[in-house]
This record gives sequence, C-alpha cells and structure tokens, in this order.
Amino acid sequence: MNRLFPTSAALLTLLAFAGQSSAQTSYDVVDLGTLAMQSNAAAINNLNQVVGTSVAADFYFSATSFGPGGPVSFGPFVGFRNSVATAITDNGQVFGVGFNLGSLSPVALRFDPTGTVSLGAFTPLAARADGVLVGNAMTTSSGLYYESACIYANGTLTLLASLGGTTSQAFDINSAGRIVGTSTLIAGGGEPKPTLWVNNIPSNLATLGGPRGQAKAINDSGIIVGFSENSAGIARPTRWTIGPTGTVLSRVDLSSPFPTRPGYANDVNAAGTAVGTAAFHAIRWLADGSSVDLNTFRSPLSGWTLEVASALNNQGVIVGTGTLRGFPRAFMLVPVACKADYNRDGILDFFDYLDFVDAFSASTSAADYNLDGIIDFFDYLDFVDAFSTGC
Amino acid sequence: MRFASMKSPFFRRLAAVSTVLGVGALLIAAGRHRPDPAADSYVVVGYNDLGMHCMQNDFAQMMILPPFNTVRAQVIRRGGSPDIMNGSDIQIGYSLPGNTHSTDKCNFWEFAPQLLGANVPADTGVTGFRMSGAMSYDATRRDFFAQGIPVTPINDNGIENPYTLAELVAKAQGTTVGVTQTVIPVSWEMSCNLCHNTPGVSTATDILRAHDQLHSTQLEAHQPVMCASCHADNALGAPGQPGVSNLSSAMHSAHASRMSAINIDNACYACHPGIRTNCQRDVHAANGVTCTSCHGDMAAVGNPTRNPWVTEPRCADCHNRSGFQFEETGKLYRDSKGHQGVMCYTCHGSPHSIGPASTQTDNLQANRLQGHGGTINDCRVCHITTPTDPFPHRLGD
Repeated sequence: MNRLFPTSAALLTLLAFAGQSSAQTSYDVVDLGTLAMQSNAAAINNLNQVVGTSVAADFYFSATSFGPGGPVSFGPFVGFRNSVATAITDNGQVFGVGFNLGSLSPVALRFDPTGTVSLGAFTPLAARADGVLVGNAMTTSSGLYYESACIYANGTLTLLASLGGTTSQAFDINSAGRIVGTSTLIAGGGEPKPTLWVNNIPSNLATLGGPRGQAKAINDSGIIVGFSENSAGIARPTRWTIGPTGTVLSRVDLSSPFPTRPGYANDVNAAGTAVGTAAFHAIRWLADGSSVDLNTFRSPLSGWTLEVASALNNQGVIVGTGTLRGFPRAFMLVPVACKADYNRDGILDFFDYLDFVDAFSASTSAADYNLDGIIDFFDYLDFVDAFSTGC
Repeated sequence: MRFASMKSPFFRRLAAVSTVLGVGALLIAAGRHRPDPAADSYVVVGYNDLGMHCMQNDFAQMMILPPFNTVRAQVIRRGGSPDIMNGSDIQIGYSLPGNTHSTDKCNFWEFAPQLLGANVPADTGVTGFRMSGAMSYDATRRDFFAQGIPVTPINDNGIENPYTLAELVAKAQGTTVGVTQTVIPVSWEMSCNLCHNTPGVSTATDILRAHDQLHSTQLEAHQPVMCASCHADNALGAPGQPGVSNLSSAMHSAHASRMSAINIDNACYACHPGIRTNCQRDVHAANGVTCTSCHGDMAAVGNPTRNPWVTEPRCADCHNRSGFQFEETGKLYRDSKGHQGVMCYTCHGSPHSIGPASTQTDNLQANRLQGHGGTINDCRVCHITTPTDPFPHRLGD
C-alpha cells in the first residue's frame, strides 16, 4: 500500500481509524485527485465528506465532491460555466455557487442528490446543518457594486449591517448564531476589519495593531480564528476568544514555525485546533498555541508541498490545497493513531512489517518512514523500532 | 484646465506660448480654479493598462511573470468646458474590496529573494505598491496610476475571479469628489501543462529540463529560475543577456510550430491566459476579430526584430474612417490621448475589454456613467450640456 496515494478501500480504512489530533499526531497525506486539472478542497464535515472545486476537462471550474471513489462533479449546470462548492454540513448538504467569469451576479446553489437547487443571488461560504447559510451578496449603490455580508435562513436572504463601510463578508457561523467575517469601517477604500455579528449586530474584533484583519471561522466555544495585521503591517494568524455576549476576552498572535512571515488561520474545530497557512506552508495550531508545519508529516519524496490548510473537522482531519509535483491539488491529512500500523488496517501485525519491507524494497516514497527525504537503513530501523514498541 | 480653456482660440495661443516659454504648467495652474468639492462635480474613470495580466501561481521553480498589475485613472471636473484634474488638486486612493491580500494565495514572496535578489515585503508588489494605497500622478499622461499591484485572481472568499473590481476614490481637499470601480484583470490560467506534462515531474521541471536539453543550460540544477535573467523582457524591464533572444521572441518562436499538438480552438489561450478566462472579451471579439487578426500569428509575434510590448497593434491599422484620427504618432492606444488630453481608454475602455465587453464587470463603469455599455459617447458624462460643435474624433478636437 502506498500511504501517499491510497486506494478507495484504504482511504475508508484510514478514515475509520483516524486518531484525534494531538501534539504527537502524525498524518497520512491523501491525494484527493482532480477531475482533470487543478483541484482544491474547501470544506470537510464531521463525516469526513470533502467538497471543493476542480478544473474539469473543459477548463472550467466544477463544484466537486472528493470521496473515496475519487472526485465527482456536481454538475453540469444550466446557465453557468463555472461552479464552486464552498460548504458541507454534517447532514451532508452541500452548498456552493454558480457563476460566469466577469458576472456580477453569482447564484447560490444547493447540490442535492436529485439535482441542483438555486437559492438566490448570493455566495454562501459556510453552512449549518439546519440549512442556515452565511456569505456575501452583491449590492449596488449609485451604480457601484459591493459585497455585503448576508445570512440565509428559512428561504430568506438578509443583509447584515456593516461596521459603517460599504464592503463586508461573512465567513462562518456557529450553532449559537455568532457570525464572523470582515467589514470596512468607512465608505470608499476602507480597510477590512475582523468582525463579529451577534444578533446580526456587528462589532469590530480589532487587530493586533495594524489596519487590516479578517475573522474566518468560529467554533461553538466562541473561539475565532483569522488574521490581523500587527503594528508593522504584517498579517499574523490570530485567535480571538469571546464571551457569551460577544465581548473579546483575548486576542492572541498565534505565530507559526515561520515567525517573521505572514500567517493566516482559516478554520478552527471544537477542540480549538486551527489550521491555515504561513510562508505558504500549511500550518496547524493546537489550542495551546503551538504550531507545526504540516509538511513535516509528508516525505519530501512524495512530490507534495502542502501550502494552504483550508478546513478541519472535529476528528482532526484536515483538507486544503498544495502542489503535487508543482501542480495545484487538493489534499487531505488524516491523523494516524498508530504509525507502525503500516497498512492502516487497525491491527499491528506481521503484515505491517511485510508491507513496509515491500515498499522499502521498491524504494517508493512511502518507505521514507522518518520523512527525511532519503530512503535508507534508518527508515528500516525507525520502522522496526516503532513496530517493536507497538501501539 | 487645458481641456477647458483650450476650447477658445485665446487660450490655445496662451497655452502654446506658455509651453514654448517653459512655464506652461504655471500659467495653466494660474488659470485653473481650485477644486470646490461642494460645488463641483467630477467624473472618475479607471482603466487597466493591458486589459489582462498573466502571472503564475507557483514560483518555487521558475518565474515568467510575477504578480504585477496596474490601474490608472483620470479625473475630470464636469462643466461647460471640463477640466482634467491633476495630482496637486486631486488625490486618488485605490483598494480591492473583495481581494485584500495575496501572500496567502501564492508563494511569490517566499521565493522573491532567490528570484530577484531581494526581499519583497508581504502583499507588496515589486514596484512598492500594495493592495491598497494612494495612486501616483503622471503629469505627462495627465492620469493617476498604481503600478505593480500584486493582486492574484483569488478573492478573499477563496473563489477564483480574474476580473476583480478595484475601487478608486478621488478626493479634493480631503473630501470625496468621485468614486469608480474598474476591473483589475489577472489570471494564472496559463496552461503550460497542456504540453509540458511528462509523468512524474512537475510542469516547471519539464520546461527547465527541455530547456537544458535543447540549449545546454543547467536550469534544473539552479532553481528557482527567472526567465528574464537571461531573456530580455520589457514587461519586467529586464535587459537580459547579450546574444540571448528576448523572452517573447524565444517563447513564441520556440512554440509556434508545436501548438498543433494541442486541441483547443484558440491556441493563444493556451497561455494568454486561458480558455476559461479569455483575454479578449471586447467588442472586437464580438465582431469576429481574433487575437491573430491584430497581433499576427505566433511566428510573427516571435519575430526577433519585434520589440515586445512596444511593437503592438494600432487601432489605425484597421480603423481608417475618413477624417478620424486614432493613436498619437509613435504611441500605442494605451499611451495615447486626444480630445484635449483625455486618454483613449477613458472613453473606450482597457485594451482587450474595449466596450461593450462580454463581461458585466468590464461594462460596469460605462453603464454607470451613461446608462449603457460600450464607448463613453454621451458628451454629458463630462459636459454639463451637449456641445454644439462637432466631434470628428481627431486628436486635437
């Protein structure tokens, strides 16, 4: 078995035995594939269902489900050359948007098994299982077009007030209805501020001292992640903690393994683990603020560079976009409960040893057990050591 | 003021004399009434220098084009004789409301030190312009500009959009006097992988390896490679190496005979920038004018005597309406002005999206100013009333 390119059955097994993320967690890198050309994974639910976008053979974007059987397009769609899937709920509802490039009126779509349902003129960016969506809708003022944060519930689209400016976006909503996103303070060229809506009333979460920031995700505990600029104007991955009324209790620079480089947190799960990117490397932050470059969990021989972690679920499974041999590609990182269980069948036995020896003999990248980019006797020793230690 | 006063013979002579004396700017300024934000009304028109900017999304191995985009604008004070405003009276701020940051969207900034020999600050372009800020004023052209904005085609919501809207806010004495939105087009759809797709290696490796084999170079061993470090490139202002063909010539001539290997309707869209994005989306495309109708075929574009980005098609090559004039002598459409200093694209739109375009975003500005797309041809956009004198589209009219 090649851990980097698992078969469908192997992927199911991987997910079934996925361990909770922790500081010691290792991950298997799963290539989510593509319809034809580049792909990216935007969202994952707690059932490990992944959606995003892939460029199809006709060169256009297609909303895509990345399942064990490989990527599947939700299309085709009448009236749109392009579609993107942006959100998936825990009950499997998939949402996205259909659009033509250069259009000012994208249409929200729900991708049902029986067909696609149009929901109106807005772009959903996050969804709850009860069908409540948040995102942005295009509004016009004196012939100018602006994005406005919006909420869609019970078939009704409602624009959210901004902090005073003309542009806003809502990126996420939690079970209590807290919405996070971005808003400008003033009309005409205002810088985006990280924004929280409580009862649809916006407040500025404030930055780390710089002019710009965006709140990208919120969990049910009131932990918000995103980025904000510091006084030097550098984007920093930022975690805000809010109280029951939305008051900001803390605002933390999460730093990263690349402390001088810009960083951005994109999602946070129930445990407070966040994912994002810094120095264009996919990054994971644990609740204690410690961070790790997720590229340390893949062999340099694999051809992967994990660039942006877009989302994660409560099992700690991470999805995002990287490059596979230089080409943009959707990936999934599955926590490994027992690395010595080489064939990931949930049983540590002699078949693991045999499978490792097979990979080692064939010099596949999966034999780079210690992930140092070299397949040598140290990989064998490290595997045997782990195998002997057990799980 | 030249735009207004030179409508009368007296001021035409005055302007001519003052120019000869070298104090034209002073006299023109003296004749201009200062902006009165409360009483004046202004028209702001933005445009893009090329109509499409290509870039890569991965700089780990090579760089053809960095994130680099340009937005320009003119501000006209409406009146019986409208004025083109200058940088001492008006300031313009630019921003990209739906696309505010780039360093989490491509890795250019991580490889800039190796490619360019210097750090480039985050979200900053190679010329120093950021994702928002103040536009500079070009007194020669009489328009404002922000050059080298490092915008990518990914909106902040993660969705790809090659036609991001830039917002331009003009202020006089701190008071907003005009706002517009214009497309700042960028795409990284360039599909080198249509041909460079050797299994097991990246597209860039495939390209560098082919170059090494054909030209006895060692590029694969010296990544990341900036093509313009050897091949002169006017787009980057790079002089190249003596005896090495310029980048445009090298690229087009090397590939001209190979494009038949791919099966797409318009081979130009393999690179410029792509089938999905369509560089040309303007009135010409709607009338059957193709890339090669104006630019010639790939062999012509690859002609080593051609000066890339300078030797370009001219409107007057095809448009020959009696009495009409088109570009200024020795200048391209994107650099020309007429009608007392109005840039050609102030009325007609950016190259490759000359109105009416097939894209709503490109038509937005004309729609807003005059109620319909296409050329801004309603005189009342700038003139309080429609002038009675004819406008035969000559440079001095």
